[in-house]
Amino acid sequence: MKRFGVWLLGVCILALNMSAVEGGAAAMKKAGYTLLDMYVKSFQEMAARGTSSGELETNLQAMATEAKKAKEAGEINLVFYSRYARILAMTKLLVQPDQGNILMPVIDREVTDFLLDITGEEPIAYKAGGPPAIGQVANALAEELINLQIYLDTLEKREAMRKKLDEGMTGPPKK
Amino acid sequence: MNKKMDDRDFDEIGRLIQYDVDKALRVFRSGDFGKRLRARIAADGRAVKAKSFLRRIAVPSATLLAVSAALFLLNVHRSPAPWPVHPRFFEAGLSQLPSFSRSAAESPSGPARKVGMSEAGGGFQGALASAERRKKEEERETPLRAEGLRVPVLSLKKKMEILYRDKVIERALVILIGKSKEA
Repeated sequence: MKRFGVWLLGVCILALNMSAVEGGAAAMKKAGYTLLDMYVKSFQEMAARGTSSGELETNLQAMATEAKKAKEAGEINLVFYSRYARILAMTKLLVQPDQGNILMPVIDREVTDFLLDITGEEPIAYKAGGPPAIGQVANALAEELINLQIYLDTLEKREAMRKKLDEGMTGPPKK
Repeated sequence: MNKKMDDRDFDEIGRLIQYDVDKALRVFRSGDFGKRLRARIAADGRAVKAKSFLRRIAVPSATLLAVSAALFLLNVHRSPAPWPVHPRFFEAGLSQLPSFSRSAAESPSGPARKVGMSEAGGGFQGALASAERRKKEEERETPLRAEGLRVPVLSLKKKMEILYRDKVIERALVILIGKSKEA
């Protein structure tokens, strides 16, 4: 009985210890996944039942606010935040009305950069206009969302590998 | 050879025996056997204690080591979970399972059992169905924060299906841009 008590205590201590170690990274990943899900789900709903620019604007603002809060709380890192914010900005640039085409040069430049960065494509379809233009940019947005998901999936392994490599260069930290 | 032993011989033998006894006593007293015996007994006691202590901690230590190794391997090699598994998910499933203490007569049998298992939720199928329902409910909505928006937790595969196969971004953008042009 005493032996079982000792065993149980040990298991509890180990489990608590491991959950505490995992807690930080898990919280960071959870916030990132949730932000990505917000974007995907909102577009899924808009595509299913139609939408208005007002609804999209509200959704984008909510996502931007949550992302900012998560960054300030340290729940997502700067890499994730900047790339996620770029997706939101690109979405808004695409759909916001530009009367008189005043913002056209800015929008074209940003979309071209985005396409080259994410898919490596020249903005040929985009410049042609119409549905192919929307398709090309939408594909790049989807690609970046999946890239961010994979970034979160591999975040812990990446950090562990980086730490190992840094220690290999400089040796383990001296105590 | 057959000479009869007289009293002098007995005296001589007695002296020899007494000499040997005295010699043995001298050796015994000079060596302090009492002290050596106590030291030996104490050493034997310590060895027994150490052996029993080692035996006592061996099993828990081995178990702890095995458990920690298993947890470590689980932590290192598991695939990243797209959503956390909530304990309520298991609780719901387990609570639907039939009780171990229930007698065989109480448990449904025959055709009624086949029907009742999924309908009444009293069997394993019912538990599975309930767990599946609970999983779907949890997939549907997960709060970001207490006061924040509620969103689903989608896996990579699910996201790829929504984004690449269903092309939801393209479809939503076409609707939005079409409306803005109409306006």
